[in-house]
Amino acid sequence: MTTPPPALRVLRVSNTDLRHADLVALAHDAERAGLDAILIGDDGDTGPDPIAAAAALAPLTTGLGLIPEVDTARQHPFGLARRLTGLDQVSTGRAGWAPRDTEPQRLVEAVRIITALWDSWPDDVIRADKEAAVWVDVERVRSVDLDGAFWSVHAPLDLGRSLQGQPLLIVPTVWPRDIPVPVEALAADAVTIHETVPSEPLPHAPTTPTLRARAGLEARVAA
Amino acid sequence: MSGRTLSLLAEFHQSGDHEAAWRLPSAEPDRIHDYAYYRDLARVAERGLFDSLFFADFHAFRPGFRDQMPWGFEPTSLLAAVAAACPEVGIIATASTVYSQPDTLARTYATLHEQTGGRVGWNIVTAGREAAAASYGLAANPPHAERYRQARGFTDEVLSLWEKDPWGLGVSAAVRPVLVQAGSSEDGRDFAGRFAELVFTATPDIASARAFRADVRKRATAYGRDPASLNVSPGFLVVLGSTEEEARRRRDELDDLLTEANYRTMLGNFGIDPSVDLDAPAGRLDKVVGDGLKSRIPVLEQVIASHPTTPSWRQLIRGIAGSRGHLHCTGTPEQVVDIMEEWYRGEAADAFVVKFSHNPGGVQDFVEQVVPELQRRGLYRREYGEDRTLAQRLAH
Repeated sequence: MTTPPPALRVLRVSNTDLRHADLVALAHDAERAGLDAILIGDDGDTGPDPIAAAAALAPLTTGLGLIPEVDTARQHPFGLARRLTGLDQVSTGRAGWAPRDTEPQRLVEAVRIITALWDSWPDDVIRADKEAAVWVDVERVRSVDLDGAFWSVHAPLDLGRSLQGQPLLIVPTVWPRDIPVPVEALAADAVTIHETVPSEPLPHAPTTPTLRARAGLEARVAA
Repeated sequence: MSGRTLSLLAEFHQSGDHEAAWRLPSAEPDRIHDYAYYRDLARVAERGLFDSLFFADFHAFRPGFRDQMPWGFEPTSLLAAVAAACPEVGIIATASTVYSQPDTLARTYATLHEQTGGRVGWNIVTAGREAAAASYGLAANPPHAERYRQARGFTDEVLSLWEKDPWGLGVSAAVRPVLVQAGSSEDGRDFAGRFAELVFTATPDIASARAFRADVRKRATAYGRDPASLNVSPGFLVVLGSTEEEARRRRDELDDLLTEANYRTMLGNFGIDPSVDLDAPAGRLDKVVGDGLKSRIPVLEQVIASHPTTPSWRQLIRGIAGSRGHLHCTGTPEQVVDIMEEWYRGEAADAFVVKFSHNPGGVQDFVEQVVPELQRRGLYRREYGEDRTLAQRLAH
């Protein structure tokens, strides 16, 4: 690819005091304004769980990227990998995620484990072959064996590969000021977003199939 | 009649509960991760006025996935989306007390509660499969008794968070997600008596179901609860046909699709040595290893005892494929309803978790053939009515 990926235009909504009905209205506004995605911030125990909130938006929106902010201190990476895979499936490939953590090293570790889990099922591993009675080539599913300072995993994901291969990783928007964001350590295709709330409605953007495509990225392939 | 009727829960395995159902010509196993597939099944269940959908969760990749389709979704994300597309039906999502944190889980379910107007239940599991420990970097799951001790503390903490509602999501001590639980061991029954508003159980005959129900209700009373607030819900595998023969043919078609590996996986799941000679007589389960699914062992022993002669391991597995020790019926809608009526009126069940032999098709047939017969006999609601929350629907 010769042209740089287009910057995503994203509406960031804080989860503080956020109600489902309000979130749906904001998502519809963002969609009408032609924005690429809505990012649901996780500003602590003052509002809903961003992943569950994003999942409920999936059937109520059509082309809008859904990006929960994810506190990597609060849940095991295996559980997060599963929930974000689910978000990607229910939104037919519109999931992103924006990790945050008070401990940068823990965040990087969680991202490494989660992205490795997402590659543990090769793309064509599910055969669903009724004749041969083979649902999945189990030998080709690779265990992830990582023992970090904060988290360990010794298994492949149990739920298969997500629709985009990897839900789009957003470079953390919340980060300690005195530490540089280790973009390279996060993942090869982490994307920086431009937060924006347009004052004028924009023409409706053409619907692209996945959030990765909107960010100018191919689907992530695992062989 | 007090107005109270039978409650129905729809088990939502993608291809149905029979292990070989994904190989039927009508099955759509390549759509395991297709949200629209589940949404469409949910709409059928909603048309059939089901109280709730139910989605299990095991957290573990297994070699058995080679020829047996797993549950392909993390339940809360799937059901959040399904509920947003279905305005009435309840959602019961499974989550583990070993692999989650109480504050995170409490917030997730409070979020589902707010989104759905109170249509959510939490199916509380400790940990099911031993293999799941490795997924979370653990050497092993905690032992059975320790898991339940932990689950009690975990659940108390979740309840206390819901009571405080720090997120402003409209949960309280009185209005909150329904607590659901399965597991019939001594620890499991104690837990049910203490916490559960809906108890899933594997009881293959009415006598054991009645005894189970009386027991957990007694325990609820001992914990100072109204025993009527505890709904006992046996699993019920249904293989339908318009005649008995047609149902039998469908059952045979399913059983004939079982592979050698299916048999051995199922034996292994019950803790039985999977390398046994399948055509040898089933032993007295003295080869049982581990304490993974403790509560199912007496169920199996009962199935063996109910055979006129000792069945082979193959016959035993053929008899319990799909139901795995739950109540099952291969028959006409009338025969299915006869059983439900007998169990409901006979104080053996307040609800049923309907396990469809196969999907798509299983839930449609049930809604079109069984539900009208239940309604005709006055056992089941004719509309959702004014009740909005899952708790209200279970209570009425």
